[in-house]
This record gives sequence, structure tokens and C-alpha cells, in this order.
Amino acid sequence: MPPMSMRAITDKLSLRLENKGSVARDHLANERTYLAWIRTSLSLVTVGVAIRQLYRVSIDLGGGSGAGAAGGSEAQEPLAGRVLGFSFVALGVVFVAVGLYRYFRSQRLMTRGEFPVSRAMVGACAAAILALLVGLLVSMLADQQ
Amino acid sequence: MDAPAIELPAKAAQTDRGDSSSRCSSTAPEQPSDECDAGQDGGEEPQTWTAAELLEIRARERTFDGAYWRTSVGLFGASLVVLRVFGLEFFPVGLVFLALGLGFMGIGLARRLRLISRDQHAHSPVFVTSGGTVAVSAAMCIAAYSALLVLLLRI
Repeated sequence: MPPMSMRAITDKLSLRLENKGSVARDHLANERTYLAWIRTSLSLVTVGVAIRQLYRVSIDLGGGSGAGAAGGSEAQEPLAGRVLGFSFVALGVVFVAVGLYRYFRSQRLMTRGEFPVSRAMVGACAAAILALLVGLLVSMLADQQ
Repeated sequence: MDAPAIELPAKAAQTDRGDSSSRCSSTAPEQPSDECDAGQDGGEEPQTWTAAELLEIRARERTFDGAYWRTSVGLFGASLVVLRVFGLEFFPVGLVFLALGLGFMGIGLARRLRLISRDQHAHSPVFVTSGGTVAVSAAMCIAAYSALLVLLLRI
């Protein structure tokens, strides 16, 4: 049990601040923002898992009608679902990292009376989600033909 | 792994507020200063709240009864859908969601206990931010997602 190193980690991660004005409320709001990032990433991960399942269902349904081409389609079909599902879960990991980074950056800056306005980061996250959704759309359109 | 990191802020608060604990050492020795207010206000007379106290209490309830609870309920819903609707090979995936939801519920309840139940009127002179528990929950999430990635690659 190393108490000194634990204390050092605590001081680095959890700040002890004088509770006056809106200090506690501001930091609680920061924690809620972090939890909102977590919830977004959980939605992405759930969508990734659901994509895997839904692509399997479509394979099962398609396998009954075209039994002759089952060998070819089974090798080909799961790849789109596999890649998309993997990408959604990976983006979920990225969102947790972004939320974590933003939480600690805001925590540090708020003690100096500053606040980081997120612009580039949110834009990049939106672009990443948009890219995945476009990929999903393209994959669905390709399945129709 | 969770338990010591959750305890960390409490320990830091204890050691730093040793001077104020001497005033209320008659209550619980292991929670020195935060129990003072709760002990005095826990009598039979109705509690009165000032507007400033209500503001603080509402902020705490938004965080612990709102955000943490919503996160774990969402996870329980996701795990229910995965367990009941999806195929049998997704069963471990649902269990991972369930474990993550229980973890977030535990973290939320632990921090709620410290910030609402023991400091009812939000009069504690020191506010300890939640960096430690945030780091623990993020590590929990990353571990669960890694397990999910491995499970999804094997399906």
C-alpha cells in the first residue's frame, strides 16, 4: 500500500477546491458533460453490435432463397457488417477518449477562470459519425442490388 | 481495482480537514467533517433550505440522480435488448453491457453518498472534483469496449 503515490495520483486527478460561488456546480456540470460523451459512445457501440446482428439476419434470410450462391455470399456479406460494426465500436472508444480529455482539460482551465470552447473536436467527431453513416448508406444501397 | 480509486478523494479530504474534524469528533471518527451538518439537521424539526442551498442540491441531483442513473439505465436497456432479442452468440456482449451498467450505477451511488447524503446542505468548505472516479469509469469503459471488440471479432 503506497500512500504517497496514491496521494499524488489523487492530487493530479481530483482537485481539492475551495467551495465558494459556483465552483461545485461548475465542476458537477463538467462531470455531466463527460457522462454525455460516455452515453454518446455507448450509443455508437450499441449500434455497432446491432449492425453485426442485423447483417447476420439478412444473411440468414437471403441464404434460404439463393441456396446455390450461399458459399459466395456468406464469404462476402459479413465483411461490410464486420467492418461497419468494428468501426462503430472503435469510434465509441475514440469518444470515451475525447470525453476524458475534455473533462480534465476543462477541470484544469476552470480553476484559472477559463473555459475551453470545443469547436474543432466536436466538428471532427461529427465528421467521423457522418462518414460512418455514409458508409452504412452505401453498404445498404449495395445490398439492394 | 474500483474500490481504492473511489476511496481516494475521501482520504484526501480527511487528511486535509483534520482541523475541522476536532469540532465534531463525537459523530463518526472516519468521516470527520461532512457528518457535522447531516447530524445536526437530521432532527425532527422540518428542514429549511435557502435558495443557495437548493441551487447546490439541484446541481448534485442533476448529476447523480440524473446523469449517472440515465447512463446505467441506458446500459441496462441495451443489455436487455442484446440478451433477449439478439442471437445466442451475442450473449457475452449483453453481459458486458450489464456489467458496465452496474459499474456506472455503483460509481454514481458512491459519489452520491459522499456528496448528497453526508453533506446535505452542501456546506462543506472544500469541494473535491471527481477526477479519480471519472478516470476509473473511463478505464472501465475502455476495458469493456476492448472486450466487445474481441467478442465481435470472434463472432
